[in-house]
Amino acid sequence: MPYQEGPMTEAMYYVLLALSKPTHGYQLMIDMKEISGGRIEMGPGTLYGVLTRLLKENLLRIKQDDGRRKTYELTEQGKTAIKAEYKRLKLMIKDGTFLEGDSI
Amino acid sequence: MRVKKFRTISLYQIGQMESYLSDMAKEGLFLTGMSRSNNIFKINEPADMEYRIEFGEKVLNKEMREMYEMSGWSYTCSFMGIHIFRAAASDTLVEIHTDPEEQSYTLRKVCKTFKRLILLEIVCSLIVIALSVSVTMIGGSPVINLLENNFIFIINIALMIYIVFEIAGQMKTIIQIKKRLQMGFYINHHEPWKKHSVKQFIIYSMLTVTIIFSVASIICTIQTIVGAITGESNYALTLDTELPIVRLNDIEKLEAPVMRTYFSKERKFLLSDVRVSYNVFIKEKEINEQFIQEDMTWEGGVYTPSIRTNYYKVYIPLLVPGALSDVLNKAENYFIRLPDEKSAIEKLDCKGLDEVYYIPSDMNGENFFGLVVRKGNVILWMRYWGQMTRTEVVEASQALFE
Repeated sequence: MPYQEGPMTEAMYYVLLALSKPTHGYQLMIDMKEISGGRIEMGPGTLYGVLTRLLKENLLRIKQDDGRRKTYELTEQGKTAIKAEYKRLKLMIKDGTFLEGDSI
Repeated sequence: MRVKKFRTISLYQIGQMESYLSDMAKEGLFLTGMSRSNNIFKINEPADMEYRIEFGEKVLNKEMREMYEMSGWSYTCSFMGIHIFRAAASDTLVEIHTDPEEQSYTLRKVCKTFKRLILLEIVCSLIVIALSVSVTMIGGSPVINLLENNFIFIINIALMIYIVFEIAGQMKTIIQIKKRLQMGFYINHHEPWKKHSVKQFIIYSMLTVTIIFSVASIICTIQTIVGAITGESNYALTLDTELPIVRLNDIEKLEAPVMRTYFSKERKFLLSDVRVSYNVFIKEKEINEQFIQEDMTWEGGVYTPSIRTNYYKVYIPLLVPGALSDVLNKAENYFIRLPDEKSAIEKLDCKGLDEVYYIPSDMNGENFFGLVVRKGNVILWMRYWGQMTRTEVVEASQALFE
């Protein structure tokens, strides 16, 4: 399904997040692990699938392709999408802050 | 050393296939390639391996391969856009797919392809079935037609139906896997697989029957071609030719019968001949025999009696009644009849013969008629033209089977 500014999958969110600076596929895996504090260890199939899909949906573009390795970067649409998703997630967290107490 | 094994688990049963490949590796068989129906293994020291099936482009993307290999998954082989990767089993091994929902997207293309394929296959099957049924019904003799074609039409229909069911089954499997992934369930990479199943037995049986019938058809085709070249399938009849039928002189009882082999000296068109059809389940011959008795006159001309016989020996007892019914149908339609005319077939009771049917012609019914005789699995359909009557032809038939 093409991305229509709805909720992103976790994989999609972290790929866009890790692409705040242009990088190549394998480095992305390392960066994501780092960003998530080791929580996210994305499989190569998931990463490759997300990259292909995001390219198709124009949220990413290839910055450089030296034949051996491709470097990806966010498009304007991609930047808007990650910011919108971040806002949505923040609102979700805000909506659930009461959970931090002993309300349930 | 390489070993070929028939693929009994579909590549679309992802979990079962992955588990099967792992189990094979434990026995020392390592997948190296795949063909349409076989998995090819290389024999080596048994090892604990994990296999993963990936759906993608027809040619494996270089970047995809590199990313997988950097994560410890080495490329094994591909078959029609399905790529197999393997890695030594380990607790630290990173799974290829860590997000089921994202993995479900990799199955989108294959699901779409299946939907298109099943539609195409249904249309093709309907065309093949319609053609096969209409060809079988030609001349109102379906049993004879099936026997003459070694049941190839039934095999065609069965194969087409099987293909549709097989594709539908695979499509259902892959759609179910995709749905489960979308719901957040991972594929069970160690899903149990069965060595033998009823389905497998049915497939093997169908394949065996198909091979037998196809080989039979090929042999018959070769025999027909060879027969046409060597003249063994269509040759001139002589008075001495030995045939398991009622010969014209068995009816005429002439002292010096003269066979009219050719139409004339100039036109070498065979009037008395034998035509042999090569089939596996039915022995079939068509024999034309004509005399020319210059010393006898009949109906204002030279007496030229003739008999045309179709000989059928049916090797499947169950199909003898059907074949007889077809022959009777052919026999009735041989003579010109009005559409609303009642059937003129008359059943006769004759000693020594299982069934005898008399079919008068539209012309002189007494001297030009058809006679269908059955004895055991042999059916004779005779069309006699001459001064004798059905009594003599029936007597000659009784003498033949005595």
